[in-house]
Amino acid sequence: MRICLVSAATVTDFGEDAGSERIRETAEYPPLGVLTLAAILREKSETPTILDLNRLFYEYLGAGSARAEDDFCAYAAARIPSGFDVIGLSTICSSYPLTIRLADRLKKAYPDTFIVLGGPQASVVDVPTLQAFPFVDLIVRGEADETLPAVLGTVLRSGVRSPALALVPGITFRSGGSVVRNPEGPVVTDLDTLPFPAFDLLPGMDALASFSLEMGRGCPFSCTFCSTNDFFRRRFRLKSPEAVLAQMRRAKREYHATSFDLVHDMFTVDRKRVAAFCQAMLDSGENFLWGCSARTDCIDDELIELMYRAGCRSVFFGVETGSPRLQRLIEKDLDLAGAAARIRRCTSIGIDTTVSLITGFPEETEEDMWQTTSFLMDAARHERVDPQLHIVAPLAGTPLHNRFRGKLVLDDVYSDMSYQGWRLDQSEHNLIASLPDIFCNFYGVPAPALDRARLKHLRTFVLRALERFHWVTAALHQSRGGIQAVFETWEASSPAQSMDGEKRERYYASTQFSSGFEGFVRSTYLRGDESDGALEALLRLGERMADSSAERSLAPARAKRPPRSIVPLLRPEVRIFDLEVDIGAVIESLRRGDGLPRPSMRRVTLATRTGRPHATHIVELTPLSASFLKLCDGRTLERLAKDLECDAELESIGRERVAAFTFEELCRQRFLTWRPNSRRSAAVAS
Amino acid sequence: MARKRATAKATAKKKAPGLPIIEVDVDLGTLKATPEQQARLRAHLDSMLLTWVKHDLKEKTEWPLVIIDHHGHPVGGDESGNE
Repeated sequence: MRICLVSAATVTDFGEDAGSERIRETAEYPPLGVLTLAAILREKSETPTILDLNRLFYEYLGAGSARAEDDFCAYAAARIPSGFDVIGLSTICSSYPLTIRLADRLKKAYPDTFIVLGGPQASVVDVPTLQAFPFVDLIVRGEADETLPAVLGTVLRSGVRSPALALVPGITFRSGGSVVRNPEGPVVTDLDTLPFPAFDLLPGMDALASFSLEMGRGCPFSCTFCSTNDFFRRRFRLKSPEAVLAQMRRAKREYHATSFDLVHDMFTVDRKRVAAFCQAMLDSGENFLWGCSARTDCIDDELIELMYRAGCRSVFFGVETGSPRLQRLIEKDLDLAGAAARIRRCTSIGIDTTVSLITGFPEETEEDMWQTTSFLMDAARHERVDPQLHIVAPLAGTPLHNRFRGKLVLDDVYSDMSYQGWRLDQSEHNLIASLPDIFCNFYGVPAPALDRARLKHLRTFVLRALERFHWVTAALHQSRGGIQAVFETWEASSPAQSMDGEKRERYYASTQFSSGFEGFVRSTYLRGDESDGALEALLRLGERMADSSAERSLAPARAKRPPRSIVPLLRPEVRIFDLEVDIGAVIESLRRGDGLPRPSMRRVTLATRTGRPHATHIVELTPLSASFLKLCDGRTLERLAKDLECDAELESIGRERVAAFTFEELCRQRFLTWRPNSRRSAAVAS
Repeated sequence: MARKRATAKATAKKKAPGLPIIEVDVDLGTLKATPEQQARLRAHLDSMLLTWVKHDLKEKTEWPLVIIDHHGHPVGGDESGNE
């Protein structure tokens, strides 16, 4: 039997933003569900073909005008050849319109191919999907690890119209003109029995920065907006530490992986098992790094420290709302002070956190909304926090959706949980508008006390301001009346206020916003206060940070033989600048949440350099480093040694030795590169 | 689950684009400081990390903002957000 499994696209809804390095890295995570199914089918002597829509989307973007097809759907369909007996498409809510269009095209092209859908979205909208789209033949609901092989076995033995399909649990299919929904299928009780995913079916697995592995399934909690429960049926399961470690070691052996994203919606439910996993990591001696998801009330300082020692370097925290009242209403029930403390502990120990918040809940008031925004601002004063602010989407099958079915609103305020781009294909918009039960996540839930368009504006403003002017925004929140007052003042004067949704998003992504915001801060918040100097210094820092991150690193120059003379050069992304304020003390005050201090006046020389992945570091230079780097204007190392500012101690070592060592050290610190002192050689070296 | 897609799991220490390993393949020969001198010099070069910024802000402004409609044709607008 010829089988093709197609992963769900997770990047197509980012549109042109999908090209950003960060989203691309996330998009290259292998589709674990599909690859696990492929491995299971191989054990049954099948040889499935895999099509990863994310990777294909980048190929499509890269093809530009050379591509023959109008849109990505046509492009993808054209890359699935004829001859497959079964095409299985994995589904998620945000790309479900694309999946449906793809299924339509495939059925038209290959009428005899059996089209099967599976995954989170099709599982919960199975009946209306089969009723609306005759080109879909069958839907596998929930975990497909046992159900899909059973379906394929039945089809292989008895054909696609076999009455025996009625005996396969966990599927919905069409029979005699009506839709038949069989009882629920099994879940995999022992996840250790699942095979190593068929990563070898995808290219480039050994070039991933972080390698995904499944840690477990199911979450015992029951948040009203979350779709996880329905798919994994609230059956919390974890793989054993031995099984995870064995897979990590295999990934290291076969793909050189040492850094892992351990996938589980709620890893830290059972403290003892988390501790056991950490101990296994420590005992292994492998020094693997890993990230996971957690609840702030299922983790404590002691466990955080153990996780860090065991290699944990990133945690996703769904805090959801900064309003205690809404915490109860959405049945998340987190203690917010405790949540803030856990986030602080993680950042202080060296664990990156994603702090995810949601706004726009039906009962949400403006006061709740500002509590949520303030929580986000408070968390975001740490660089290690990646703040997320989402607008709630009624995901199919959730209590939130069930409660508001029939009352959902379709406007231009798409939740970013469903759609991240600035444009939506017209045919997909038509599908969404005509079938709210299937594409409900693109709709909004009524929130009578909130203006949804304003909510989206607030979200965009806060996230973009933090992105461009992190410390300025933190300072305004702490010392200029709070984020609410700042946004209300910005709203009253900003050109963005009169723009429609799409144009506004583009404005905030442009350099116009940067200059507009900077002018707004100068004209509104520099008002003769004694902390003005600190705010002005932060503005200058923000400008330089944006400026310096506009360049990419170059590969270092190398020479096989020592050149006679070297010209040290600043790396292209490096900027050197002076401030007359003790900026380190200002930042430290904001990190503590103490607001803008009265600044100490002190000349500091700062520099940018590339640092941790996708980040630019700002460092305060020592006098020797500052003196050396300021002289890197094309003069040779010999000349530089003569011009370097040296005190008596350095003079005693000898200027040439000081210059040579400083040059090597600043190369290592990613400030410098170099070229030989000849124009001909320079062209070769750079 | 969809929101997790945008999460950067910044656990990687290798193979990250834009972060080449710096090796100075220049033999500075007789200019080499002694180990004792190197230790003293290192103290003069120990710069202090103040903060960092993620590269996302760069990508928003730098990404060539050619918007392609569903026919594959570029639509109006430039990087500055002007129509």
